Amino acid sequence: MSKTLEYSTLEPASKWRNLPTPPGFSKSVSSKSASSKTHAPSPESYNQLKEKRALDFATAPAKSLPMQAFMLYMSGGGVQIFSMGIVFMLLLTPFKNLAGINDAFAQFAPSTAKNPKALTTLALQKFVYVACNVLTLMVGLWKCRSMGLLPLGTGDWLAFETRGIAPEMSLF
Amino acid sequence: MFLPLFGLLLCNPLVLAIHESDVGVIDWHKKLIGVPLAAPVVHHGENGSVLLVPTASNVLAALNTTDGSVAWRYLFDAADDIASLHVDGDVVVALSGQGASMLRSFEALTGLMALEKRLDAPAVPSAGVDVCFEPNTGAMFTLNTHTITRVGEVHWTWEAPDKRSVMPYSKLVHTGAALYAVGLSQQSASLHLAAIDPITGTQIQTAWKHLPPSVSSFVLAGDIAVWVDHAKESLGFIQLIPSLKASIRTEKALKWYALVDVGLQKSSLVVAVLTNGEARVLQGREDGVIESIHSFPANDGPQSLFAGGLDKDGAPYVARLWTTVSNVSFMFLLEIYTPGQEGAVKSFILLDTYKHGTVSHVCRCQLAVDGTRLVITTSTGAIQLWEQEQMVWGREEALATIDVAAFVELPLPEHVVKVGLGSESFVTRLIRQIGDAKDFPSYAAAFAQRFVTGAPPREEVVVSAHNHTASLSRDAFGFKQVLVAATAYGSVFGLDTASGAVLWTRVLGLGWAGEGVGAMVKPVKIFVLNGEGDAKDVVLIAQRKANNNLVDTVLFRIDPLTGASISPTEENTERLLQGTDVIAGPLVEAFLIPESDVIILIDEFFQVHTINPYPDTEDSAALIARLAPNLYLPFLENFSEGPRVVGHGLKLDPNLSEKHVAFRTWGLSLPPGETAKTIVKPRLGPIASLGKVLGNRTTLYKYLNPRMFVVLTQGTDAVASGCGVYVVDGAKGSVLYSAVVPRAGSEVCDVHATLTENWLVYHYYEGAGLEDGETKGWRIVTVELYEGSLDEKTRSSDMSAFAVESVNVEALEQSYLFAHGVTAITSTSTKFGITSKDIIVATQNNKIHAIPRRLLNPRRPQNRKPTAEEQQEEQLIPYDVVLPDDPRSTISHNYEVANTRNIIASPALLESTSLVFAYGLDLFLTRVAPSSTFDILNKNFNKAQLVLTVSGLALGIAIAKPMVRRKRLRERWYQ
Repeated sequence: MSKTLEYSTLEPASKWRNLPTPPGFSKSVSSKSASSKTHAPSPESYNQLKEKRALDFATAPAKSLPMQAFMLYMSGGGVQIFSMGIVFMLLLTPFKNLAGINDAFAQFAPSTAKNPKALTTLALQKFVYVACNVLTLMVGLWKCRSMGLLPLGTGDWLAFETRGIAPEMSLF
Repeated sequence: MFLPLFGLLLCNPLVLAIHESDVGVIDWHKKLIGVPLAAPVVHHGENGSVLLVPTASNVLAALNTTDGSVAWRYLFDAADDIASLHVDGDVVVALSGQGASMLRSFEALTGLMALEKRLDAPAVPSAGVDVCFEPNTGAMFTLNTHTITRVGEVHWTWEAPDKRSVMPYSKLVHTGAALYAVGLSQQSASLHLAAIDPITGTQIQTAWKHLPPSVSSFVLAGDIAVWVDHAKESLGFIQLIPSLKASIRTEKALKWYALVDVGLQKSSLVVAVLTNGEARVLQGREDGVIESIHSFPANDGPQSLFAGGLDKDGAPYVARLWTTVSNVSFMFLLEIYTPGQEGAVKSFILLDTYKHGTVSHVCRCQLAVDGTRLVITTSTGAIQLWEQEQMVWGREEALATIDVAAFVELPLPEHVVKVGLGSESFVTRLIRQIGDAKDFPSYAAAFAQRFVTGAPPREEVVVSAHNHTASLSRDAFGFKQVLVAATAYGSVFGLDTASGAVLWTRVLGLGWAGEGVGAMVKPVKIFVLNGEGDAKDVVLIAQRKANNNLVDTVLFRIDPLTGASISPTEENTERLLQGTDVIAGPLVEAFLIPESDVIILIDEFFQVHTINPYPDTEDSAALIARLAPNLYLPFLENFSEGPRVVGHGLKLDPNLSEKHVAFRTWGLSLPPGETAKTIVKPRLGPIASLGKVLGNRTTLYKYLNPRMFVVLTQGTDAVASGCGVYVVDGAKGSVLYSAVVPRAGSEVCDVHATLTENWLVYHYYEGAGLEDGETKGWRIVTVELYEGSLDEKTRSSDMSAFAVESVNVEALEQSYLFAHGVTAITSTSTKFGITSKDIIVATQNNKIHAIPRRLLNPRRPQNRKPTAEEQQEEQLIPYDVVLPDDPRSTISHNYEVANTRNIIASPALLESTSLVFAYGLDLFLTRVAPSSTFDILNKNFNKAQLVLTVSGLALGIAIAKPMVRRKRLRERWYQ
């Protein structure tokens, strides 16, 4: 069973917020001093911060592109285990990312959002994210093409062509 | 620097020579000499004896008498026919060529040529040729019509005075006193004699003696010329003396019928046959008198054969051989007479005339002191050596004259044959499976053994030509097939492709002509039909020409496993193979309708080509009726101006015939002065790919018109005109590709072509009459036909022949210089057509070569390097005008595969491999894998290592698994 860190407990809307403190837990000392000294951040600044983090997250695939391009270059044009691994990674990660896009962005959802996993929350960041992933995919496809793995020519579909029997027959 | 080059060489797939360890394993070779023209001559040497034979295949050969193997042979050119053969001591002399003007002398035991000399050819056609030897000097005298030449240290030539009036001489005799030339002319009824001084060549005397015109031939016994006057049934003879003044003597006491020359002229022996069937051995005495020294009693057989010979000590023998009149057992009786001994040694041999025909020549010879040996050659071309009623060895020389041959796949082994599952009930299936289960232990044991040792069971895989079981069932790879070959001598052979062994031999029966008339059966076509169940049938179509000039078409349907006739069915394969007379007349052409078992036989009566289906059933009539509107039959027809290629359609005209008739629909129009010579059929087979994919992933679509065939033509004007190569559509006769190649001044066009899929390869000689700077030599041209340029397709393979686009053909072609002249060309064929095809050629230097497809790719770029994509995807190499004469491309190892007339290829069950059979004088069969054997493990594959690794891993898992489990459990407890 995997353990995940629930960031949502920090949020004011969390259902865990109103839980009573455990027995013997002295609330007064630490919480009072903290709240008095530091200015508690407002929900808006939280949301802004989250949006910024979401944008960072959305552009992350694009940032790793140079490194991937370098790896592609190093892996060469031949069809080998390394180049194939990288190409598979390049081709699969965009789809994996896009499939999990809502879950990935739920943590950055503003506190005002009704449903953090809705597609419409953080629409701009998600669009950027999609675009960056498409970019990664394009790089992967470009690599495939350069390796001759993309069935673009007629030669790739030749094996699927069929012919019937000629109407006339000539015997020899 | 050389390392990358070396690596390139290693990676180059052209480096695919035959391994020496494969020789005799994947291939076999039968060295043949051809059917003897005359009775063999026995020569005794110090270390053994050989039989010297001139053959119909224009070969002079020596066979070891101990085992019948070829001691040596000399192949004469096609234009250099053997005219005569003479043996004296250790010297064999052959006269050959035009006017018998080429003299060659060989050492009898080794075949080393001692002398090769061109003599003056006579101005008139050569009428009589003889050679005689001078004792002790090594010199020889050759007679050619009017000219006598002494060949030796002293050379002289004597020419008959007044050649026009003098009739030709035909025999030479050398006595101590003089050299005599003797000739008989029936026209002028005279015997011509000439006496010449053997030392100086000066003429001593010429004379002629009058003989009755009924004397047709004479025989020499020593220095006495003997003849029989058929009109008076008398024997005449004359002794040769230098003055030529001896008078003719006649013997009229007995009724003489004929004389037989038994080759014992030196011993003064000749055999004379009397009209009552008796035979006398006559000996010429020194005083010029002929005396009878032995008499063979009248035999009761139809005809006797006589033979003479010398034993090791030079003592002469005369033998007589005849069949008994009661032809039940076909016993050949033999009588051997030795001069100086009383009576004759009698023995008999039992020759199977149904297998070997009748004896055509006999040569009797004494090899051992107390044993008698006899060499016979039969009418089907077999040479056999018999010793005291036992056959010591036999050679089937008819195999040097194969007319048609076909590969036949073997049926599955009995235990694998599928049963008809449809009609099987549950209970019977259960019973059958329980019954089959009894084989499981042996199967399991075989499997385990095979897994461990890697050696496949011998009955499943043909490992070697010498080491395999004789069972006639299909092996796992399909290397074992039956090769059915029909010869010009009217015999059919079944050969095992794995070893070359003769499985069965049949002699074709003569049908009605067998009773008293006599005939020749000439095989024309061979087809393989699907027989009952898994088995195949072979249909052999032959023309039988009876001695009364009636020609019939006979069809033999043969079981390829046993050689037994299927229709008509026969129980006893010991008799002659009888066929069915299908057409009472000559056959024009025969075709097999693909994917059916129906053969169309076309005859011609009154200018009407009638279609005769075989088998003549309602089903085949219905099939022909269904196909007739779209069926086209192109074949060669003879017209007054020469043969033409004419296409025929089929129609049913009730007024004309109740059968379909073929009517002319098109004729191939050739330029004036050009006539069709041969039709080259396309090599049919499955087509794996519809196009050729180029390096940039575009496609050139192959022009796969299934009706294409090749016509080779020849200009009537021998000098100016060339030879044509045409690719023609069989349905409408349109020319899809044509080329004219130079003729090189030869009499006949020597162009060889092969067409497979869309690929045409032809070979010719580019000779004189070229511009400056061009090269003389043999050329190979490779042509590929495509539907258009890149990515253009017209769907040619299922397009109607009458569609507009059907003539849209784009030909890519390239020509190469080839190092050899070829006598036959073909392409390999594999089961699914995926493997690339090699071109197999038989060269004039008696080798079989495989030319890889890669070298004959017409897309090889000229004046540029192929791009990386082209190198990678198409494996293109830059164009080079010379096809490398790579000895590694020789698939015939160091065998001499002489005078190959045809090569046929057949797929094996393995996709990578094709069986190639070349026949001509010699037979050669091998397996070729043009793309290397990608579907079987390499012979060097380390099976032991694999088995050890796998079992080691299994052992490791077995040991480690419980340990890991225990450890995991402990981890959970003490976490």
